[in-house]
Amino acid sequence: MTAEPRPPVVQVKDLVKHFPVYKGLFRRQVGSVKAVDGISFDIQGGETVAMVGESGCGKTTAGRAMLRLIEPDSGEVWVSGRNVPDLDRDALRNWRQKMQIIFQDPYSSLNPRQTIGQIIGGGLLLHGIVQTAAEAEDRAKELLERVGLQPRYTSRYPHEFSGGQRQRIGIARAVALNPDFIVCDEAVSALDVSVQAQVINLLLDLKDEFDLCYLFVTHDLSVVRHIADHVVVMYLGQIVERASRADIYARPRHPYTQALLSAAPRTDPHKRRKRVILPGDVPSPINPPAGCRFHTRCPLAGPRCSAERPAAHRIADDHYVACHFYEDTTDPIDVTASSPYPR
Amino acid sequence: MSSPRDRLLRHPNVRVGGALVLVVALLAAFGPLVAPRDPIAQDIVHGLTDDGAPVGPCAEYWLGTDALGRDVLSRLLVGARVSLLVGAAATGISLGIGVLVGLLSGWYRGWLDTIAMRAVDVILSFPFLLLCIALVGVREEPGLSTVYLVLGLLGWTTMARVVRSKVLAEREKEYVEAARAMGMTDLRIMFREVLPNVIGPVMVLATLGIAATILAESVLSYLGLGVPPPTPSWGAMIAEGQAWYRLAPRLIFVPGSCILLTVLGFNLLGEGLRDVLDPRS
Repeated sequence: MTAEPRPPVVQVKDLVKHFPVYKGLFRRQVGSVKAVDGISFDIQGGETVAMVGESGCGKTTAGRAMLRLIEPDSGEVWVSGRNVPDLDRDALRNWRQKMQIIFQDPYSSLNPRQTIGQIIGGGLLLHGIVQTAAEAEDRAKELLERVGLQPRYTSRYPHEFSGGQRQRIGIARAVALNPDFIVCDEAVSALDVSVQAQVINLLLDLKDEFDLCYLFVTHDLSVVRHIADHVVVMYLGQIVERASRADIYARPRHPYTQALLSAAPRTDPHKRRKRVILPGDVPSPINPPAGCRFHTRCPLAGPRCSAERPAAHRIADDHYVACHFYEDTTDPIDVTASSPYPR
Repeated sequence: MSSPRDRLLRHPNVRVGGALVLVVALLAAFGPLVAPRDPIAQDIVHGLTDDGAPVGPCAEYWLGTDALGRDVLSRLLVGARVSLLVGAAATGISLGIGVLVGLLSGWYRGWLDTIAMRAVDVILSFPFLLLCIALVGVREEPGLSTVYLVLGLLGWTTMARVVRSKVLAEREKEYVEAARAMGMTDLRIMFREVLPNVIGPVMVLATLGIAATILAESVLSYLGLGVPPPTPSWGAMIAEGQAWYRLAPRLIFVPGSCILLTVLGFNLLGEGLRDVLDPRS
């Protein structure tokens, strides 16, 4: 992207979030869901990092924990130079201006009792960016226009809009505070494909205009292909691979990434390709497998995999793989033959 | 889109209900001034028949007299104040407590919620009237303030439950998370974001509450625990008239109709307000 690398706007180090599980009459803690279990990655300014993985892998929790919408258990999250988990209540409230979120559900994410002007302008008044309600309204109008809606809609209520329009309103709300970093939590997953494309393009335009960076949490690999600069692949609360988009799609090195990518639909139905089908189900995050979490389903798994958690090996610039056999995975492996679910 | 004020004034329920409530409010305010006679003066000569029965409606007594020869119309006009005051004050108290307890309880959950909801269970586990009677007895002399305090302090429980359950549902919605991500304080989110989404059923419940407290006041008056005689209240009038319900049913039906119309007025107003406050309607 940019010729000269800027310092990362967002740095995540060993972020952990476990949800306790209580049981019985006395609500004794019997275990915990290891939703996010030590993840680290950076986001450069002006960059979009896509976080992918299947349902329940902890990607949404990771996004929420970074913003402290869920309190993380440990780890560091540096956003624009400050470590978010260290901030006290007031400082955090203040710093929220730098980091915003766009939600998946355009219906429940807008307060049905507030006008669009109030929804977009509320944060401006709260953070003292504008002083009067009239100024907030004016700014809301500009923002509405910027996201492709009529400025006069400020006096309307959310129920008067379609899903795509609502999502634009949610985007306007997020960029209103002029943040440095936005978490897009499945931001286009609830939209029609045609609307998806428009919203994605809007996000990309806004990114350049407002000098933003995104963490794009999604399960939709076709969206990733379109929007991401870097891709982080998660499995059971851990990052198994991260690399630039080009590398991930051209040279996936973790067996899970390879399986995941082979499951993505392609546009050409005649093009035959190898389909990697993983045996079994995702294990429970309450009791994740020891060692490499993927070993129960991995075609390459050996004795070492169930004993030792693989470190993130750097195999190229910006390409890290958490697999003991990273040297052997240059060719996508075909496990179809040994799969219990043959095609 | 029309302004909320226009929508409010155009809503048929609000118009009819508002008119009824307005009439009752005017009666409560000016009733004693326009009452043709002294509501507690007994007219033994003209106000009772030779048999000692109340006289029916006539030129002198438009709505007749009661068993003690008092002018029913005057008592009705003066009694409006007591009924409306008790209804409004008691509901105001239970609304305030109920909304606050429900909001805090549903928002913070945990031990606060447990304590509040168990308190609600305890209060609701007693028969309402029995508890009223016990509490009214705590104060040395019965009076207006005792009645609405007791009714208000006992009436908030259903309100609290309704608000809590709505808050529990609303707090999980993403707009609440968005407000937090925006940097709003808990209090602000509770009152500015969540409360307006909870207000619909609260409005309806509150107007029903006014109706119920007016009735409860009449029950307490009937039992002699309300406003002490001879001060007129609609409930007390029904209580006093019931001995004559065969000979002079109007003694029950006239104040009864007043209660009915007042209650109807508040209910219509409440439903109308709920509709108007909901931007989706």
